[in-house]
Amino acid sequence: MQYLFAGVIFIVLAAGFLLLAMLNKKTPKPAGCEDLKPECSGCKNISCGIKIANKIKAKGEEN
Amino acid sequence: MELIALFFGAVLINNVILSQFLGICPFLGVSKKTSSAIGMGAAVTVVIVLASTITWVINKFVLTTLDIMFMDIIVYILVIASIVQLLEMLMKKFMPPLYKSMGVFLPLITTNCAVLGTVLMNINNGHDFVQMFIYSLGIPLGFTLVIFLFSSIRERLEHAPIPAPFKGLPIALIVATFMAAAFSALKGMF
Repeated sequence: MQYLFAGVIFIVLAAGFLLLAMLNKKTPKPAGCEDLKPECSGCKNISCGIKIANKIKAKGEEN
Repeated sequence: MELIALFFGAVLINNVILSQFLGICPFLGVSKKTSSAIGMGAAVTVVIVLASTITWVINKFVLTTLDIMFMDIIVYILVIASIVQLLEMLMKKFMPPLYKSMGVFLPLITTNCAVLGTVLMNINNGHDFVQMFIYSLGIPLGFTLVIFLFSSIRERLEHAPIPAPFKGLPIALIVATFMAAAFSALKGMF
């Protein structure tokens, strides 16, 4: 029974996250905020989502 | 008195960056400019207070009641990620000026271990609701204080005559060491 509750809670939270992420993606950015970039270069965290996104963008612009 | 000690302890003595070494990524990455540092601090404060409150309620009334504490970390991570998405969406829609100044830091906060750290410490230390709220307010304020002080020093260091090998991150890390030493001197105050 415990595991059933755990599964249900996980599914509810994961679905909530996915729904919010989708709604967030669909919400248009306010004028002037289309290309906001953080001024971070110091932490060297290779798994940082922002760093990866910036790299992909830069590569796309090069090509 | 106990709550005041808890608050100032969270801000100064058990400082999340200099004493617990959490949230080092934004501490080093977003501290080049004072304005960015304040924006990051404000965003972290909002997320930590909200995340701590929601996870405390979930822990008390769902995880403990159903005896599924083994789910704690995964539940907290999902709650934090959802809060960040919700905040970003609300800011985009209703507070464009705030989104312009803070929105860029929100994705960084999802992976900020200071948020998960505060949530876990609240649960592990057995705080009641008031203690949890005071602690969750003190931790991000300590984060904001330290990142603001650090960014002010880094801004001044930009114009200081520093030997080339020490410019940039090396001198920043040396400054962080001195700041940690200075903050450690506050131990025993409360």
